Amino acid sequence: MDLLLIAESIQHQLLPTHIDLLAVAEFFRSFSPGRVRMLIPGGNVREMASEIAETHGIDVIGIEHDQLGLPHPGLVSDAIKKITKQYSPDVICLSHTMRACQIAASVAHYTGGACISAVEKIREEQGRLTFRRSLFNGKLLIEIIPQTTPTVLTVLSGAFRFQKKTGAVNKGSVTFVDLPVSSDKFIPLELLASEDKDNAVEEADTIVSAGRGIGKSDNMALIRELSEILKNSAVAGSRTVCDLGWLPYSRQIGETGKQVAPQLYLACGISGARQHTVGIQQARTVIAINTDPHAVIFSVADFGIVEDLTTFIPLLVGKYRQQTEG
Amino acid sequence: MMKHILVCIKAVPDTSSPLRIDDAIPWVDEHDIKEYRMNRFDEFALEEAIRIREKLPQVTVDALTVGPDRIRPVIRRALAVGADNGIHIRDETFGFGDAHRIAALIAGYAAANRYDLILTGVLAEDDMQGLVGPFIAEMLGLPCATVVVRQDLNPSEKTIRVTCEMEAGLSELAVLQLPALLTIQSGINRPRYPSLSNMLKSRSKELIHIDNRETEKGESHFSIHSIQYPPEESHCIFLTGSAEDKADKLLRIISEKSLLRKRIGIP
Repeated sequence: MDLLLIAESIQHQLLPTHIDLLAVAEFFRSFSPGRVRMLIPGGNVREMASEIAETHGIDVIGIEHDQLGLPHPGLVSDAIKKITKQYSPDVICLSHTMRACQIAASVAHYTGGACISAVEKIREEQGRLTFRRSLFNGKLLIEIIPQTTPTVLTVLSGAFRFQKKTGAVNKGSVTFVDLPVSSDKFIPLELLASEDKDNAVEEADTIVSAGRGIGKSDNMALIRELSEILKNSAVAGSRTVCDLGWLPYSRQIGETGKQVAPQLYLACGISGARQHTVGIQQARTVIAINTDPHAVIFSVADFGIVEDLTTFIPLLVGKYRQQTEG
Repeated sequence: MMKHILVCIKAVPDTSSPLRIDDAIPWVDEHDIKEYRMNRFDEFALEEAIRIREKLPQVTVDALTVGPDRIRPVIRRALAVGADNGIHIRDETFGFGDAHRIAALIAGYAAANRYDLILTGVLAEDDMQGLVGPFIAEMLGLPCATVVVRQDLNPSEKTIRVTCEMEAGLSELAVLQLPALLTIQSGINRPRYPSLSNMLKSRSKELIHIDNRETEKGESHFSIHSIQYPPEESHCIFLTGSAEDKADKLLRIISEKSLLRKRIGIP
């Protein structure tokens, strides 16, 4: 089975997610021999291309273009389409982001392949591959069997473990492919970094975090009260709570927010979507309070409390006051 | 001249209750779905379209959805929020969507109606694929930007500047030529509630119906092996007893980690 891995470089830096792709390749190699090639698109990729070929012993295809210094999914799709014609891979694999989904859809449409996004697990059974992904924020899982070739995948970062081989590897080849002239329908201008100066959640020992389950903005007062009984504590929230304007985005935890490592993370009314929980992988202890005993957050929590926040938090804070004043 | 905006809307099951699996489809058991509502990300896309029309009154906003008749209230809702026209592409398939096929239905309609701008939500809350928008763009040959958190339309130049959210606090600024397709991220705006007058108007408004008789057309790109609940890998210890008991236990746990602001006495 031939694999084409699509790495990503931004401003002349190879993104660390190329490791996830190597892990997927390793998995495929464990049951099916075949060629593994990695495409590295970018503004200037010569050095990284030869380093990857040398370190990992895979063939690398470099594609350089002035506009590839910044994300340009359309142009990367064009590059893959061109390469696919030449090498006809069975599987094309990207690291999951929404721009990767854009590339995957574009390539799948062009090749007639099956497009499966946000893959968490791959299973081989009697020569047939099934690809597992989440539905409904992780409440359910679906296993999909592609029926057309190539299979175009985006895989979740961290879902596959990479173990670097020990011993010498044979250096892979490095080739460069010219891109067709790009259209000017999409022009990347610049990369912006957030100007956030609020470090409260990064510096806190304890974080009380609110999700959609808190119901209404007035209930943020309860979250603050709970935070006040904890040592060096900060208030944070899920994307939804920030979208609603109940907290600034500087307090958003998760994939598109902050990744935190407190001693204690108290998740209040948070359903536990993966997009959120990737932000708390480094938390020492996670305690979740939720009315729904099936909430996915409990699968990553150390302690769970199935209660209604609006009555439980006042009760908890009241007991704390009693026991500290007494 | 900027004239037509299409907003693609998905009706998703309201999932506040636990989900049961119907293995025959396979998908969630439809008996458990009390109602369908507008995919949250699409609410932001619709609001963004309406805001553009408020600045450019010659613009019309069409809201389109694909699905069976029972999801029609979701298009009514789009009209009540402020869409000018509601388009329903009837499609009886139920279950995990083939994004490729859904996009082909939408692209077929859109190609005949020359939209200047097509908006979708970043992804659907139920199947979470994030693919329909990009597929439509590819089929129509439109430039596409995903995870848009800000847009500035320049109608005279026929361009749109967008900020696309990336990982780790980064975002990309890009400019697209119209016609274009954007997938809209939550938080770009605050979606409005329907006004009473729009709500009344929406009830009598005729929807544009398109029958899709081509559900069986073409090969399927994948088949579904199974739908399951996540494996129980949890190490979570649930605190038991009355609410009072749980509060006492929780205080004790936090206290043992020395993470309470003040020390508590042992009751």
